[in-house]
Amino acid sequence: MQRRYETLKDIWLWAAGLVALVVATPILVVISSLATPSVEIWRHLWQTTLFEIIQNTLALIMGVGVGVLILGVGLAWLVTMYRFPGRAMFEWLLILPLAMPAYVIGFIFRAIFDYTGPVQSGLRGMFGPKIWFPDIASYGGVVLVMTLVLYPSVYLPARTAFLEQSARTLEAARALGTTGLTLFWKVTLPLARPSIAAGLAFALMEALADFGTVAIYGYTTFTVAIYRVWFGMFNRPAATELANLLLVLTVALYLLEGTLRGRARFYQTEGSVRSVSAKTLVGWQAWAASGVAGLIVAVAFLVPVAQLLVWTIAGSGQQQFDARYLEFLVNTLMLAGITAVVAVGAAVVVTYSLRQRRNPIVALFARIASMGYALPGSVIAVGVLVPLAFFDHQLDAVLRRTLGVSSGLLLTGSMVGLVFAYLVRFLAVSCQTVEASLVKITPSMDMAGRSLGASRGGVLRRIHLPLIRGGLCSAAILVFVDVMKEMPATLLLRPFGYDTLAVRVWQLTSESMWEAAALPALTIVAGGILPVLLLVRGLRPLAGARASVLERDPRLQGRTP
Amino acid sequence: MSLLRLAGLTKHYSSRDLPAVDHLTLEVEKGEILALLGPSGCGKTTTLRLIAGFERPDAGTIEIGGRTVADAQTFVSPEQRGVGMVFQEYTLFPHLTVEANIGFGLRRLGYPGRAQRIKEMLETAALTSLARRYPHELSGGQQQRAALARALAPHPAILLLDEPFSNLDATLRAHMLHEVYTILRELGTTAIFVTHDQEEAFMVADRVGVVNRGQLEQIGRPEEIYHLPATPFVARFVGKANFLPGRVVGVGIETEIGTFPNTANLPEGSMVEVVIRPDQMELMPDRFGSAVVISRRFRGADTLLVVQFPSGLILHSYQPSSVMLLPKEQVKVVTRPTPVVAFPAEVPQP
Repeated sequence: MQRRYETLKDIWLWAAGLVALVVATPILVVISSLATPSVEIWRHLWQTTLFEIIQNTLALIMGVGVGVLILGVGLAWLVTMYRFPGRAMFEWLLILPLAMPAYVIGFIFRAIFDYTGPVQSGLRGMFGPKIWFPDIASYGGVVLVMTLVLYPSVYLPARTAFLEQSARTLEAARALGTTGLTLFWKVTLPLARPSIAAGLAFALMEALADFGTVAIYGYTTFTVAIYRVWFGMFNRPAATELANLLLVLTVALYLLEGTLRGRARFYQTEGSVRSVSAKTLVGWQAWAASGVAGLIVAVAFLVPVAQLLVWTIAGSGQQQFDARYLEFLVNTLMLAGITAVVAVGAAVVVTYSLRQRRNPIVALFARIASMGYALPGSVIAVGVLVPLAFFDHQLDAVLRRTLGVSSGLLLTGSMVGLVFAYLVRFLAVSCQTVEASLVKITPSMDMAGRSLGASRGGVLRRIHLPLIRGGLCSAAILVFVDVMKEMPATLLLRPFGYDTLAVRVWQLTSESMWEAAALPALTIVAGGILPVLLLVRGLRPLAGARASVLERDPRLQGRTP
Repeated sequence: MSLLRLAGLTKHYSSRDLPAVDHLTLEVEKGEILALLGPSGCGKTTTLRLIAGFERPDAGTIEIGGRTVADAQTFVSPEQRGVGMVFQEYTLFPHLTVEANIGFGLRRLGYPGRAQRIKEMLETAALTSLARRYPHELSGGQQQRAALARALAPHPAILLLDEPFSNLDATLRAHMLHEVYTILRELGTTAIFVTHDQEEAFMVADRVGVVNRGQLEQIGRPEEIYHLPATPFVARFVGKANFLPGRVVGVGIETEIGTFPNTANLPEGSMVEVVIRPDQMELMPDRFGSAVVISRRFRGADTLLVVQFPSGLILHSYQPSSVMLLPKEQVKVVTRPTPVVAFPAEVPQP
């Protein structure tokens, strides 16, 4: 009983429990509404568009899945197993498409390859008006675009997995007489499977969550349908039901990933292990390898960025500069900044408290809260709305009773709701990053601090926070950029008239105003490069200057309880 | 009046396992250095953590300087116990210089007081010239001294050291052992240190407590522990020991190599085991001796000889390296244990 009393007095545990519970609530709301489906709505959906939505969504997942597997695994194999001109450079250039939200490259491709775009116009000019060209606004177009931005999430873990094996296993296999493609199919691929499965699941969840691209391409998936019934018909119950089904698909993916991974664990070591068995390509093979890697980088990053630059410069020359650009920029930076601070703060509270004492209930809520990252923004938006509306109505009722005033809808449709939704979606990102740096600090550091008279808060402030400064910055950057890019939840929850860069891109591109959308899109891409730089830094540890205290002190490395 | 008093201290980590600390009771006097000696996993580190306040006891009380810091009703948090701690891996704060590390626990002092105390501790630990260095720029021994200075700076009522020497190589270890001992004595510090190495315990401690399976097997001066082990475990764990089976007959204990006085007053007729240290016997070449040398291992200062009796009994003996006995040689075994230590036999004799 004594022990229970101690637990109740623990203010850190309360704080962590509160954070975890608040973030888990919307997720639990969506899950619980699965249990009470509305037959009416389903009948209506069934009679109208449901079949098309499901078919389109599944087809999208299949197509993107195959696409990112081929590109991601293929390129990872190429850069780890062979030497060719520019290999070292391509190794990290190939990560760059990660900076590009799918909806940005999506609208650029649409503009370039559309009937009125430069490519088709040019071809017609050369070969006459009858020339056939595939329609970019189609299933194939959507899959191409998503594959190009999502393959790095397979490429990265696959590359790491190949590197880790190469030195040990591959030489052993070669010594036993296995070579070339046999080696790839029999040894490398099976060993890398857990890593690849994790990357693939991540890519597919992103594809499921995407709204901007499919909307621009007129390809109706769940996210598009949710948006339409929400804004087009103001039918929130129907949106909720669709969100539920999308959630089921996401959970299915989650489980599938677990199966594919098997019992193996996905891990990613930082720092590069040079593959000793890399084969040097010569002649046309070498140039072909460089050519393929270069083509991907060009198509998925360089050309789109160049196009954005051209449009931006042309636009500013013709006085088409969007007068409200600064307003969008400030809104975006503010939202992203607030969310980054809140998410990192919440992550510190949760991870530090669980480090102190592993309370199973708080740990469970923290686990549920971290599922938010797998959930599409549209689903989270729906889940956030329910508890916020409930709170607003309660508050309103209380104020009317006691003071006779109405608070109206205080939180619903305010920035609070939006930040809340972002927090639900991105808390897992900050928690993971903060925890990764926190576990590097040995528990006896805490004990040393406590025995020298520092309270738990004092230990956090005087020891942990200075030591994990780098990790906190990384976490903040990751959340910041994710918020910048986020589109569907922002569209559904933003306060009326409160537009961000992503919202602006959506508004302009849905009206085919490509050039005008270039500047906000370019800004988002510029932000997206930050986490890529963090990744590259992880791939190639910098010596000296920028290395943090943690990295300098060998005794802290890998010492986990 | 003892400074630290543990009474019936008990701690379970999980309800299924045996307790990590099991009804431990001991007292430490002011200015005394106590070593807790035991194999790994015996509960000695858990005892330190309980004293420091990083674990809550399931039962029992802890008093420091007459103040109860843990019992069924009370739990004083670590930062309010006035207990200093030195860890195996030193755990200096890597983002702080040596002087900032030492000053970490001195927040309550104002600036002049803090600077003064840091200066004192730097001098005591011979670190004055390294005050501005960061921990990773120090050698192992320097880190050790810095950690000690940091823990001692706030005048802790008691200092706890958890395996403080086990990270050092043999040469440095002997040196640090001496330095730490000197500093602790100079400051009159009350200290408990935990080790699995009896040599460390004997060299530094006034008293040694031998811990096994969470229980205190014996506590006493190093000489007592070595010469008068209270239990077979202590006899076996502290130094090497031969267990010579015998039977209590009249006033003595009859064994294969002679009769020993029954100083422990074991009951007449019972089967017992007499503890014989390997350095407590002499081997003499004797063609009619009952034992035969079966192996010989040169150890440097002495030689380990293993002898076997016709009954199959095997004894280990350390002999000066000058003793030139060879395997297969017949020997006569003369033991002179003083005093004689005997325990009731652990396994019934056939």
